[in-house]
Amino acid sequence: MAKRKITVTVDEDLVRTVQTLGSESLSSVVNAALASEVDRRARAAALERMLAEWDAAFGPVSDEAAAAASAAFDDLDALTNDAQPAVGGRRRRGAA
Amino acid sequence: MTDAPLVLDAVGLDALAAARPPDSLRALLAEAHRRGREVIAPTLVCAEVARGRTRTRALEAAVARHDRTRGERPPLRLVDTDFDLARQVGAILEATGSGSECVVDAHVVAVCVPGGGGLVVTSDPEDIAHLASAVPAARIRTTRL
Repeated sequence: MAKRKITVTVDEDLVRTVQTLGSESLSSVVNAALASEVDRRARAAALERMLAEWDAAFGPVSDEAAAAASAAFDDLDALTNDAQPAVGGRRRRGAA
Repeated sequence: MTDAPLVLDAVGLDALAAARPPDSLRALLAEAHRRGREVIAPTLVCAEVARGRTRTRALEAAVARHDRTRGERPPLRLVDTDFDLARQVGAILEATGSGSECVVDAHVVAVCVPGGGGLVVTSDPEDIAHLASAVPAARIRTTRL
């Protein structure tokens, strides 16, 4: 793929760490990091637009569904990396 | 904190492809977006959904949905099965004494591992929980639609 030379400003500590970690060029590290971040943002933008289109077409989601989704993520985020298998389910009201 | 993604199994993928997605999935996707989480699915799950012309066309549209002119990429990232993932799946099946009939669910669990866990949208929470016991370091929760 064609390359373009640009000037960017990055944290000095990051540059030092990359140079300490190995022989890979700084450009390749910056390129890989940028590609990853661009991919994340490009998917998030599409998700945001899709959700907005659904809201416009079908109306907003119910408060109950929103609360259940938030609680499910809260449960996930509350898990800690202890020695026990961190697995469990969360059944919504009316779920089979 | 965590980068654990929202992970779709066949029921989640089916709901994503529906003409009118259920509120429960829309809410989960909105929450994932709010928290900056990825939405992913093993590509192999598509094999469970791509059944019949209508369902397959809907799936194709769902996984490709984006506007390239806006710089977007599809909201759902499909995770292809490379050698490393296949090896992880095999280890999960072996550790839980599961057979090849569980290979798709084992993929769902395996794609959670790189992110340190995941919130799995599934119709089989017990199966996912059993398979997830093979990767205790991954924080995995399940939710139904």
